[in-house]
Amino acid sequence: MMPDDKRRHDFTNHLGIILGFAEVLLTNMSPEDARRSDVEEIRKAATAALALLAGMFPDPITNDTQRDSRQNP
Amino acid sequence: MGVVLVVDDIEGNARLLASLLTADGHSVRTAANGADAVRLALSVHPDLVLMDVMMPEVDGFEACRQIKGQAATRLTPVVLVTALTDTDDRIRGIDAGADDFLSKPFNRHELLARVRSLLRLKRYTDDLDTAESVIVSLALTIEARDSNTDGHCQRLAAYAVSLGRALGLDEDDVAALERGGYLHDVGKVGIPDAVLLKPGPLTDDEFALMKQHTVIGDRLCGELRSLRKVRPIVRCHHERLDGTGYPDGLRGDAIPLLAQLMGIVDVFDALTTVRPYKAALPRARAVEELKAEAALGWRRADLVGTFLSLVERDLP
Ligand SMILES: [Fe+2]
Ligand SMILES: [Fe+2]
Repeated sequence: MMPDDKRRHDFTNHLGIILGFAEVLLTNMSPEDARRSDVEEIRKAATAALALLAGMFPDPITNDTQRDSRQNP
Repeated sequence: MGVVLVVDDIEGNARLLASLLTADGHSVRTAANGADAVRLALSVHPDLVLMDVMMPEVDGFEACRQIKGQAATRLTPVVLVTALTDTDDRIRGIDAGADDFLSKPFNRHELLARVRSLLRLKRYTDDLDTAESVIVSLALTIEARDSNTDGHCQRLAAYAVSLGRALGLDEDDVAALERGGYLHDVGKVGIPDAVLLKPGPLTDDEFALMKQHTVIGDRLCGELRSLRKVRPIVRCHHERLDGTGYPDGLRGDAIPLLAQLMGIVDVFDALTTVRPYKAALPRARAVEELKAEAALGWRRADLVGTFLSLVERDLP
């Protein structure tokens, strides 16, 4: 594995933990809880950071062609 | 609900998985490295192992291989948690005996659904003997990943058996057709969800990857002597008589007969059921499509004819 892959992997890991626990907190908080919007900000920021990371290391697969029923796997 | 062994060297990850799974009613044990995972698998007898691939020293692949290598834990399902797009990881994971894969960062609902269906499967296979349970569990694991193919394997097995009988094949061949129905797409375990479940058209690269399910499946069956007659079905069910099929572009009689039969019933079932990329066609349109494929020289018209007369007789 290239050092870049390793760094992306670690980064994704940590962001995934932040996002995951924010979701756990949101599930466990009552709908009226005043802290909900704070945790919601954490969740949004982690989601945005993950999307940003994916944008910085895009998939190699890009060009589009038609798929028809003959492509049935 | 069952006992899940979570293996991750990053404590936050292990704790996150543990709290998600506990909230869903499972009991969770955790291990921080591959060596502990193998030890705990032996002493705790978990119903499922959820294991990170990238860990120092004994990594997830090696730990999986060791769990699958011991008689006491061989049938314990192991799910490897890998980076999002890593096909190499999947192929290495299959070689190590992994039952399924989850991509990080994972979707909570997908995680819980996957765990539940694998636990259901574990309870089911606990009641079967070894050889049969390996086959059934492989096949049903694939189906569990893709809700659109619900029942596909079972239907193919049934169609293929009646087609084989109608053609007067011997019982060995008919048995191979039945197993082939369950196993023909077993190689899809090596295809990432992003491609397998993609709703839109596939790109060239994605389609090339998808075609690999035939080769991967063939390789998986290669380990099992009892699947000798099933392997050609798995590898060649997408070949066409005119050489435009895959993976080998075989022509005419070079395509094993059993694979030709599976190809016919597979197309019919795929057309008449919903897939991520298309709606179901009415039966009559599927019949036309199969006839058209015979006319194009992709399939033997006599075999297609026999199958269609069965369809008309048995499936009102
Ligand atoms: Fe297939
Ligand atoms: Fe299929």
